[in-house]
Amino acid sequence: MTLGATDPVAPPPVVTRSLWRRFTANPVALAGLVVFILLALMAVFAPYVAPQDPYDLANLSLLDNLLPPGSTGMNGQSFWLGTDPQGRDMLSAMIYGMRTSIFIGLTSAVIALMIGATVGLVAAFAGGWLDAVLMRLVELVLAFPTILIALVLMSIFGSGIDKLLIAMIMAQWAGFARVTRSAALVEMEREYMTAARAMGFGRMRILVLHLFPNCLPPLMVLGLIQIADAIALEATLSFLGLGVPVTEPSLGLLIASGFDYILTQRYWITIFPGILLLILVMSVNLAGDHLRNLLNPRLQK
Amino acid sequence: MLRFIVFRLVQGAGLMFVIAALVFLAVYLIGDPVELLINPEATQIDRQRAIERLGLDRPVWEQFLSYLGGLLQGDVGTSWVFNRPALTVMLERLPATLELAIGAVILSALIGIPLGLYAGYRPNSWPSRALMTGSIVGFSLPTFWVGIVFIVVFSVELGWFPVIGRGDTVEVLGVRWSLLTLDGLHHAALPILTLALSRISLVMRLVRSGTQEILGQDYVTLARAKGVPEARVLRKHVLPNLMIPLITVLGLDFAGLLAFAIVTETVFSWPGMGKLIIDSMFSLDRPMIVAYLICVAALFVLANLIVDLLYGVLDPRISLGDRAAR
Repeated sequence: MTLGATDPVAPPPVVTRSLWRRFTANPVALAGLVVFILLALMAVFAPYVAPQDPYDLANLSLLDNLLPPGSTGMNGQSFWLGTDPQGRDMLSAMIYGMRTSIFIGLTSAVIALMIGATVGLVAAFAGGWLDAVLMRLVELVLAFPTILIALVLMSIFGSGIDKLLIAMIMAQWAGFARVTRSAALVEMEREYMTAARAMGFGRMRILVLHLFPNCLPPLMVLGLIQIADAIALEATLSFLGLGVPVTEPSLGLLIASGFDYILTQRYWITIFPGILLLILVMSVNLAGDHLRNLLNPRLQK
Repeated sequence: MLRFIVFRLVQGAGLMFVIAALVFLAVYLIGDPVELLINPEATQIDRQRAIERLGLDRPVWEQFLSYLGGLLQGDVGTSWVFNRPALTVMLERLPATLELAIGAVILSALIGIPLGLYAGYRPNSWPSRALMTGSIVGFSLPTFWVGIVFIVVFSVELGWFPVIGRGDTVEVLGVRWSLLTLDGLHHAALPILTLALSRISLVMRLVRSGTQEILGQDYVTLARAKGVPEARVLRKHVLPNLMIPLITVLGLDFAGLLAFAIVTETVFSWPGMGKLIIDSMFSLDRPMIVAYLICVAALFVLANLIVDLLYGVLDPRISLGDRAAR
């Protein structure tokens, strides 16, 4: 039997064209999405977009360090946003840093979503003691703020991008598990689930093809907002010195290195990466906020 | 009432015991503290002596049992850096952090509630729309960066506020507070504002959606039909009904506020628990990390208890005795 339109008990599609049309009807949300996609493209193509490779030492001249925005360097190149203490072009360093931010934010949020959704679906579907054990674990994790969990784990793990990813996933999965479980519990009572069971479908098939797609709306909202939170979390951890290793590009590290210079009026090192971080996080939040309004049944009509 | 409080405190103590056990497993089983703690140039004998002093040569289960035994007596170990009981060192820093956190809660309520009421009362006016978009800016702003910008603008450029430290403190009830002196308040203003910024957005959004919901209720329609002035409707009918969800969110999120105090304290060099825990993390002072997590768990339990007690005060229909008996 094929799935989709020909499946007699196929659940109604949740992610439809009309949702896309309603989403893009809001100019602010659309702007958020467009800005995020543009920034993500810039990050992906950083080597082609950035004026210099700020992490290739051959390109750097220490004589160019701490130049104010708009300066011209020793070799005649112009630094629109100034340079940092190592003589890096700020604009380039920010684009490379954003690359790390988006990579870590997206990856950790998506993997946490997958783990959390699996745990939540299994807990709701299995019920009984497994549900009880999994949910007590989720509650325990949620009792501590994400940033605190990530901080403690990083202090134990030591530094490294891979360790940062693991720490951030461990800090984020529980929220997804709780949301998925409560959505799944509601969906399990629906008629299409009874119909699917009556058709004699296997448990895996019901779980993956019927239950999961219908739990997607709240997961999409949380996922989008979590991407913003994860980007901010990575920057905060890096700022505190417990995130990205100092040898890697990172917006948080740039802001931290600029923090040492604010008393001597060299604001650009800390202010510009912060503004980029704000635009990045806000673009995702604007899109997420609107998606939540669209998918919240209580706000419809 | 008393029975309820005792019941909840016992329950909270049980929860904290479970957390403490898990924290031990997490903190002690991963990573090798010997490498970090002991001077690499120390002789083999010094090294051995240090390992014995810290009890790191014993099997893990033995360390765990002695840890649990100490925990029952309120002792989570001696700080490897300060060489004093970790919990004592941590508790000395508690007032400074509580000041920031409580100050931020009060400030976010003072600013967030009126703005939220307005945004909920006139949801389609342009200031309300601006406020809603502004609130997204509010919780998108990275806390640490806000702190830096405040320092740049208000301390470096304008020179209105001092950059670091707590300023003068005054001793009340055996604890030194800086919020009770003018100089201390002057020092605390920027850190509190930094910490409060995302909470203001949160409170505002919560109050707004609550106001919209309550304004559609029958009792509001009735009050309006009786000719009750709008200001009185908001004050007497809307606001009291908002308090329960508001207190719930602010209370349950108190732990989150403490976590962000880590960031704020680091930026402003505020000598609280957050600054201490970051320093302890860098020196891998495990007893301090454990002490911090237990303090946060205790504050979480306490905040929950206070929230429950406030329910009883705010809504006479909620009887605390029944809940304890259940």
